[in-house]
Amino acid sequence: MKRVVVLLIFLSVAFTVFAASVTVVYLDRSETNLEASSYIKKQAKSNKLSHKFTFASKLSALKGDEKVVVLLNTGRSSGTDPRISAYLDTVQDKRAIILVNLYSIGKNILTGSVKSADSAYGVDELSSASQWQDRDAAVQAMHKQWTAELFRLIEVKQTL
Amino acid sequence: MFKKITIYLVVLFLLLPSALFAAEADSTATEKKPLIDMSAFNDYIQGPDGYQLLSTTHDVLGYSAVLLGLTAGLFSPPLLGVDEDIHGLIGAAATTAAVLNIGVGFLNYGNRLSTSEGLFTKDNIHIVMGITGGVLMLVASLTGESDFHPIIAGLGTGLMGASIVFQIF
Repeated sequence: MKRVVVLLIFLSVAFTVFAASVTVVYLDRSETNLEASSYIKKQAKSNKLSHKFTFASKLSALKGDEKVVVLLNTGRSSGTDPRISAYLDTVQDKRAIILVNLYSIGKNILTGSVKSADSAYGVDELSSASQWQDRDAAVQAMHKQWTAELFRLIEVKQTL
Repeated sequence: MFKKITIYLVVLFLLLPSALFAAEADSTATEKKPLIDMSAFNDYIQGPDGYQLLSTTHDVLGYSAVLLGLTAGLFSPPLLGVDEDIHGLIGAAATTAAVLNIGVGFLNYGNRLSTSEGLFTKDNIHIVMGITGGVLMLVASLTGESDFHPIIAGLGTGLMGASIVFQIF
């Protein structure tokens, strides 16, 4: 019995230490940012993914050596937050970055993705409508769709 | 004794949110090293992980407050002839959960009380019903000897329950 417990503890520690780290950057303590960040983590857990999500509330917290960085672009109905645009203009190697646009467009449904080659900022982009109040089937499906694409991109970037 | 615990909790939760969330606003003050550095805790509690933790806590406390309130009502001396102390203990637990829940709700969702999208939004109604219910439960705890105690307690528990049901659907 003791051996099983020790093995379980060892495995838990190993998973925690060696789990692939993903840094999620949110710029404001808004409902969208907090709900989206929590949702990403919950979905990763329910999909049994081993990613270890760490959260940063400002772009200056990024060291530049992160394997995967997810930038949450929120609080807008279109376009990119100027703080994110300014940051992306200064970054040389953008391979680690995934830009997630969560647009406030009422009760509309939106999902989309842009490859880094086609993106104005040279990063992989995902777009979705930001809806966290009403969670009917269509909204749930929308959130599952963009998070599934996010996890696929994370997997790709971790092999780079 | 139950009254004192409830009063201490109210004072604590009136003071705690401002202490936790005022740290960033106080940027003009001269830099002083705090006795206990709360920055790591503040970062955690204000971040998505803390948000999720407080969200779950809010759910658990809300359900507990209503269930304990209903249990206290059922286990009351006139209804089932249960000992007064047991009724008081369950009632105090219900009030404690309700008061804690108002504090946690204020910490996590305080910014949702807004009139920017109208007065009667789902969030506004949930918040007002929840706070009114919690306050009535507190008043009921403090007026245990009064004839109005069962009405106030029942109304408080009912409002808190309705607040939860309203938010779910």
